[in-house]
Amino acid sequence: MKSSSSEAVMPSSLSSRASASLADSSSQLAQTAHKPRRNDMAWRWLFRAGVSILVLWVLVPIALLMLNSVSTPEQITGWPKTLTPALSFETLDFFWHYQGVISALGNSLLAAVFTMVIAIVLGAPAGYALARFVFPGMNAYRMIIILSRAFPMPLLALPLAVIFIQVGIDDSILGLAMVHATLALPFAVLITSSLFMGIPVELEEAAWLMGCNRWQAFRRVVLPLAAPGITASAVFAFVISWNEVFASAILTVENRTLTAFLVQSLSESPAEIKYAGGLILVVPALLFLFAIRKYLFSMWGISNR
Amino acid sequence: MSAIQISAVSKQFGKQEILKSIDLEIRDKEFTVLLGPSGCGKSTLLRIIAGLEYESSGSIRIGEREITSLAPRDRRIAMVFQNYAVFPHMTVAENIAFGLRVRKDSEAHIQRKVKETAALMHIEDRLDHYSGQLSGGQRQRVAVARALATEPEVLLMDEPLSNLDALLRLEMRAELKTILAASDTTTIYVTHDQVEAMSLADRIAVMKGGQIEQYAPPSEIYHYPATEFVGSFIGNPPMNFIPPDARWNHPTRSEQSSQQVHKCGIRPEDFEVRFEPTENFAPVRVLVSELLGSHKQLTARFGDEMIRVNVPSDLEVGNGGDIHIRPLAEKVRFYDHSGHLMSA
Repeated sequence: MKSSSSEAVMPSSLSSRASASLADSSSQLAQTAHKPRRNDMAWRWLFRAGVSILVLWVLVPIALLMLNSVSTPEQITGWPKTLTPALSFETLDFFWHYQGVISALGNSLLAAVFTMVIAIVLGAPAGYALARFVFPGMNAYRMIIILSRAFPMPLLALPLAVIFIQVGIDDSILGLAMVHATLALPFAVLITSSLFMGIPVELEEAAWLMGCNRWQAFRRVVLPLAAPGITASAVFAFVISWNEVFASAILTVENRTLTAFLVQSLSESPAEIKYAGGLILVVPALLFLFAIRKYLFSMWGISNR
Repeated sequence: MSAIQISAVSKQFGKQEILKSIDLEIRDKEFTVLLGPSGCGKSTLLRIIAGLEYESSGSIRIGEREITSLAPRDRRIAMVFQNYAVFPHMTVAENIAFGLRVRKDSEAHIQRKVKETAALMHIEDRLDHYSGQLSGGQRQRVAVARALATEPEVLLMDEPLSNLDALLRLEMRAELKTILAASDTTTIYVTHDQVEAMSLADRIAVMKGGQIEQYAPPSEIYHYPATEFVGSFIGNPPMNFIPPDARWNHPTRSEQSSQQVHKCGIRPEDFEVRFEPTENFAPVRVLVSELLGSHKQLTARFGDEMIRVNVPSDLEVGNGGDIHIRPLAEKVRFYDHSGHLMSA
């Protein structure tokens, strides 16, 4: 109260600041006047604690990974830890020139791009069909798409390895991408279908009446509106392939992807090399997922659009 | 030539009959309103004309062209949707030009047409805006401009004003009326708002349960409702339907035909009122008296029926009062047992 009365006589040049702090002090007053119940406070703190634990659960390992990969080997094994490492890029540099890393990186990229293309070329039309048409067995189809994610990778990868050898696409990046696509397709279908559902069908109908056939209406009206979301689901398919390790380790021998390569060669490497490899794997996936998070939320209906 | 002829169009959805053999003839340049309660099939009929839905049977002609089997894009029809359907990724100018660009008109013609229709709809200063930057009323204007720019033979409008607030709706209604009258386009307009229908239409088709109850000019719909449904759907308050009363002694009805009369239909404003018992007048008890500005609306008990009577706003009559009423003889309509208007 004292502050507000003193500000009341301030010169006009300061009046805007004065009124701001007036509002501030009055809101403080309102807060103290309405005393929150003890119960509310307890819940609020419990909620904050829960959120903090979950966030730390994810962030601490990533932070450690980053810190350790730019530390010297002595710092990694030494104690106590420091939050300000010496910033030595020796291990990263060493890792980069490690035999086979570059070609594994290339394989990973190639597999991820193939996966992305397959997932979108097959997934987006399926998503469009689910969004725009009513057909018999629609709900069953939607359910099967979700259920296919429950299919364990080992069960899929081992028989496929046999079949791939018979067909002659064993140890090929294309074969691997097809397996990765089975993982990525359900997401591609679900994300794109919710995307197309969000575009009013009247926009297409209006285009039809103005002289477009179905494809023209799709290309001129639906596609421009859906493009950001389709890009996002493509990136997501990319990340799924990029991160996948089990099928990659089983289905490739000579043409290892980065994940398979690291699993194989890092088990006998020193700790600092493991950290460097881990960082190189995590960072692209992390950046991509961060860029498309909005669309991943919309897949589950928590859209902020 | 762009008269529309709809012959025996029906639509079933599973076992449900949405349209039962609709016949409708719309003259060239005519403004027809399809009016009815929700679920009466009016929107389905409009979408069938547009080609957005398929009829189960029947045929549609525009002028000399049979369009029943044509795709929407070949029908030379424009449509204004309830939610406007303005393309959000295009500017107003691109929206208006869309149909012209699709059919590859010359760029000079497109530019001229965009300017012209934008000026007509008073959105010429919004041409560079996106629909997200426009108000609901402006989006509505873009939708109409976009439809008119293609110079369609037929313009379809599906409840175009229902998303606007009341004042804006009134304004747009008057504007649409003048613009569409000037454009000479045959128009079919769907609404559930009887006031909109009365104000805009050359002819109204009142629909109920997948059938057309009456297709006539607004004044005929109002003064000669073809069925009891039309009489009670149009007019606020609706027409009164009461059994014939001998006291009123209608000279126009012969003894024989009045035997078949099931109900008399009388508009609330078509009653004479007396305070004293008078010959040929029937006594009624006023239950509720509401002053509505220009007139007073009485809800009264007449025998077993409730009737509504409109009287001048300065008439002194309160709740529970007794009055005597008689309908104006020439305003009484007679309905048979099936609820159809009997010819006088």
